[in-house]
Amino acid sequence: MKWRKGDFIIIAVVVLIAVGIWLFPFGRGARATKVEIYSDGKLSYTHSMDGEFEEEVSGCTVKLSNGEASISSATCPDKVCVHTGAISKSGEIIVCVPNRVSVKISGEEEFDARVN
Amino acid sequence: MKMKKTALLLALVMSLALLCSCARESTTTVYVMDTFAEITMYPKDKKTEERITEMLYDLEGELSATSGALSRINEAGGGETGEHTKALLALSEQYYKETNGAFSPYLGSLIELWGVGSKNHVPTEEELSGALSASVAENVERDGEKLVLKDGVRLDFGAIAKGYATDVIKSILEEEGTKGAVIFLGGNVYVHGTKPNGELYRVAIRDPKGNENDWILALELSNKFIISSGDYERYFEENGVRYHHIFSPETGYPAESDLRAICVIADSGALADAYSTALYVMGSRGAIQFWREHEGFELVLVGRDGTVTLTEGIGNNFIINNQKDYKYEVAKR
Repeated sequence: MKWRKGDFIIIAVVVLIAVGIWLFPFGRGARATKVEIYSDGKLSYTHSMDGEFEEEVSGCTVKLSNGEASISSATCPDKVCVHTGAISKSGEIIVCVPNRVSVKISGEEEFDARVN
Repeated sequence: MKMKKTALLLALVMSLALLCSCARESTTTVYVMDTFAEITMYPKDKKTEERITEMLYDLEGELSATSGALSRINEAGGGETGEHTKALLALSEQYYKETNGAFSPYLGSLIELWGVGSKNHVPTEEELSGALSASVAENVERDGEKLVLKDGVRLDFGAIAKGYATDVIKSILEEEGTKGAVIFLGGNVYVHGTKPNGELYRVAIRDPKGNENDWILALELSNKFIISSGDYERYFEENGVRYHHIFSPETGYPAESDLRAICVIADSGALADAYSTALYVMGSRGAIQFWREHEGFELVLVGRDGTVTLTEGIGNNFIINNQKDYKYEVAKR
């Protein structure tokens, strides 16, 4: 079996595409792409960052407008989630511990973890 | 001939595709110990995640101040202790001595009296002196395997339990041979091994002036616990005064520290957790002095005056948030 120049080109292209797919999620510069809403640790909804919505999830009113997500009102006693304000960058999160609701922006993350 | 080559190429494409599709990570969120935990595994590993989750629920069952086995011991004035309680008490006694009482597991009565985050009560002087005189090490005794709590002393591991829990998580990750993991437990972080691309983890430290997502400094590290304490975590306001949840064991009031926050970076979660509370109480000068006299941990201090102090062992693996108006300096041994 003889190898021709064309075969090497095909192999090179295939390898490049595969490596590209492999590296893509670690690459820099990807932006916030979606808002994920979790209830009791389970994903309830995923929304794209564009457009608007307002939704009630386990006692929390989750809002998205102008590329910013927030919990605008909640039934919990401490209102920590409401006071967190709006989030728009990948990796940012709003958590309501009493209602077990979290709102998270995903995409390429700036940090692996946040201490608070 | 041609067929063979096509088959070879196809095999190559398929094996590479397989390599790509193998899940890089998985994340579980658990609401436990009055807070939430986020466990991220590299690569995906549901079995280890479940082991960790179960362990956290067990720990909660034993330690919860309101419903756990420890609360029954506190109510009854003693009793048989579980394995975790025993381990926590031993560690707590050690840190209590090392920090000269700035970290104390004996403040249960005081913490309940204030109820920061629940009943939010500013106690009278009489109530305070009662709770304070109960909250001393001498009131805890051992009768063989049993613990005896005298004169109203109540154990509270709130300033060490989450750190201890991350230590137990670390031992599970080591047993399972996990390559990489990020553990978030109620504000505390442990980063294990390395990221799939071999890089160090980037851990952001919160700006106490902002909300949960505002950061002041990011550290690049691996196999470390990063735990902070500050007046912004849990507090209430009454007549314009902010009462936070870190108490001075001397006055019984929320500690009047010149720090807004302190972050401890160490190889042990229990140590980092206990020290972060103790060093917050000590204030910036006391904390730096303590760091000079002890080994095995590094600090990031955020002062009320807008100064961020890093201890020199952190080296240069950090990123400063340029959008913040803080003054940064390095403390030497």
